[in-house]
Amino acid sequence: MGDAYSDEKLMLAYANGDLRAFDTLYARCRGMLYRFILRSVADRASADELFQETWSRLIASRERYRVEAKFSTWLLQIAHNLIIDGFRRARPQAGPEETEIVMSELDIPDNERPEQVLTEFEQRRRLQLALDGLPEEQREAFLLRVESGLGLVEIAQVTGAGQETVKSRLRYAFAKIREKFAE
Amino acid sequence: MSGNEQFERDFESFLSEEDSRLAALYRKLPRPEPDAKLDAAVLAMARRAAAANPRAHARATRWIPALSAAAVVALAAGIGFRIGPSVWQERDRGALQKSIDEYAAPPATSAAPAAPAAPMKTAPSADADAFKDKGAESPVPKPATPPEPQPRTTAAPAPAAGYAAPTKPQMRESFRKTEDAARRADTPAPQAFPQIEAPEQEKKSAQPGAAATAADAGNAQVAGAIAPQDTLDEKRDQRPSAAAEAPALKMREESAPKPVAAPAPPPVQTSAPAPVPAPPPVMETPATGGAAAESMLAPAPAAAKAARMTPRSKDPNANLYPEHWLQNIRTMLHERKRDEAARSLAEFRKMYPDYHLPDDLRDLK
Repeated sequence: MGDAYSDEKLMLAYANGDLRAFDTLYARCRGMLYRFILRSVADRASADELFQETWSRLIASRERYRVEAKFSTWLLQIAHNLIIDGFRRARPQAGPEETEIVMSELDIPDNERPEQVLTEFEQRRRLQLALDGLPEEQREAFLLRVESGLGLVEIAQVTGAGQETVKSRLRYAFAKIREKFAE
Repeated sequence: MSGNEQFERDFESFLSEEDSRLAALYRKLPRPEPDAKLDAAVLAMARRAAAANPRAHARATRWIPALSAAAVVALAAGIGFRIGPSVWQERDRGALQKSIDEYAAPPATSAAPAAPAAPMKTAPSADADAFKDKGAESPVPKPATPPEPQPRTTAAPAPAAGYAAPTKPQMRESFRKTEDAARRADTPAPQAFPQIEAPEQEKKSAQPGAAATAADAGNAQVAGAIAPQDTLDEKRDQRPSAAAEAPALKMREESAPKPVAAPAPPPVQTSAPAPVPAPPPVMETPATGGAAAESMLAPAPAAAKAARMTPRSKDPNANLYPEHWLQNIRTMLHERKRDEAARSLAEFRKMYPDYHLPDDLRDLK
């Protein structure tokens, strides 16, 4: 059971009781999903909770899984619904100060320490602040595009919006981030 | 190149996954991942779910409806087989009762509704009906006082309605069977009619009826016709009667006719109406079925048919079934009453011209 198998096949194998398939699938998707959630909620505790709940939902519904779309699309759709349903609405968006704290808590490789690469760090910080400043829908579309590598069609499937709407959201997000860098 | 055009180009490159500057910058952002504790929790959750194996459970539960349906069908079939016979019997009785009612509702012109109930005893009325149907005059005058349309007498024809059903071939077959049985046994026929072997006490109790019969010939025929009807009614009402119920009770006890070589019926049977209630037990036997029941059933329609088709005789044995009559003739021969036996046989031949006589009586003149 290795990379030769697509996410979809691994999911089907796990639905048939193959635990190794799940391990492989989890290893593939854990980082992407976690970052998508963390950057959506900007709260590590909530992100952990949502991350676990997302996998729990996936495990519970494995019997109903059908290969109708990319596995990552299905996984992100579950996470998106959870974010929309509760946690995100219950908590106000993290402000810039909280974002600074989160950024400071993140592990950064030694060769990327701010004091060493201050300009690059400043760029990343600006990017993070720009993301946090985006409206929720635009940020989500941007994260799905950049972090999860989804195309317009898949983002539309995850978010339940039309493709043109998604494209418009991405356009606005792209413009605002560029604008932030231009300051 | 205007700013808008540059923006559009960068945006298209961002959408088409080309290595846009923004995407490259994003990838340089810290890449947080779930900690080991969270990984362990998720993997444990997945293992627990796989261990529970809900798919296998679902596979097992998929059979539950099918098994339930099969169990219900089996249960219904069991109940049906257990209850069914009694229900069918009730239905048969209902149909029989309906036919009784239909038959018992006599037309205004009908004087003797109870005719075929006891074929041998009811010969007058049966014959009258038969002859009337044929447009012929009855050779014997009808009873002076035709039976009142009492509930008992009107209900009496029940067996007749039931027994009238067999077709001619069936009657011929029944006759043939009884004759074969008579030929095979030294003391033929009676085992086919065990009910006539009434206990001595019952025979005695039946004798007053016989005396009354002898006293008034016309009334005797009516009484003879009524007697089995009474028995039938009483059986139907579940009210046992000493004289009339006894044969029926005996029939129930001897559900299957025993191969007992019956002794020759005493002469008292020749005039007593007691032996005649053969039809009532026969009514109950159809549910049991089998050859025994058939052998018991067969003579009744045959006798009824014969009674309708043959003229009346003054011989007291004329009230008996043919086999019993023949048995009595044998008894006469045993008692060295050859003339009486010959007379009786002549009467028998008159009444049953088509009857195939047993070998031992065929040559008796």
